[in-house]
Amino acid sequence: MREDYDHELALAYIQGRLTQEEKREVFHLLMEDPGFRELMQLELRLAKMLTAVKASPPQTVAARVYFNVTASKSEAFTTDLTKAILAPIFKVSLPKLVSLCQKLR
Amino acid sequence: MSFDEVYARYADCVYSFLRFKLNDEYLIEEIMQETFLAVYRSLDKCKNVQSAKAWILTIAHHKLVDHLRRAKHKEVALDQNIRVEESPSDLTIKEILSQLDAVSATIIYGLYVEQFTCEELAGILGIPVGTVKSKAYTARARLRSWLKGVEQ
Repeated sequence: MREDYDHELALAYIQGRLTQEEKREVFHLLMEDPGFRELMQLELRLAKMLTAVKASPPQTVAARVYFNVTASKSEAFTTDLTKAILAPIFKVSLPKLVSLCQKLR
Repeated sequence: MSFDEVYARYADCVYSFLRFKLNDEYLIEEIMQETFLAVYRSLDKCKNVQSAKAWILTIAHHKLVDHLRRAKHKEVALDQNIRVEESPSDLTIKEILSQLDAVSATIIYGLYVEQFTCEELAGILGIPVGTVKSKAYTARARLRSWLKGVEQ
């Protein structure tokens, strides 16, 4: 049980989630408990190695994704606009226009 | 939060997660785009979630799973997760990750790289919190013992 708790404490330390009281406890354990000190050293080393995995998208990729998403926004806006405003207008005016053309013939 | 703010804040996080899981740069871009498209379409939900980062990564994870199912793409083996052009540090990470199964590796990534809680990871991966905790415990013990062995 104690071991489980120490592991939780070590992870919370790595994640920066310790309360003031827990920080004091970690400090105390680091001073007094060689087992905990070893655990923390391994956890910190592991964390350092794993954070090297973090990557940023190449600028071109980030820009392309942003452009495509925002472009689809305006595409959706145009479709909505057509449905909401232009379609009803055409629905009413087109038959009239057609009949007018037929009369003119 | 506007879409621009969300994108500026979380594009790196989504890309990094997908790059961790996949080896195909085109697929990464495609899934990243689908993720942010979904984020844009339900941006109003972002206000009601506890962690925007966890919410966005949940979407990214779903999109990734959908893609892999659709394309019958297999998740790349862990030793292929890291890109071809390897630096010495990549090689070490590769060794670390090869100690774990795919879910455990994702949990370790979430805990150490993105600083998620086990509860958040359970939400992202769609598995019980207990499973995340036990997998995390086993994986961490395994990695520590591996690291200890390497150092000696």
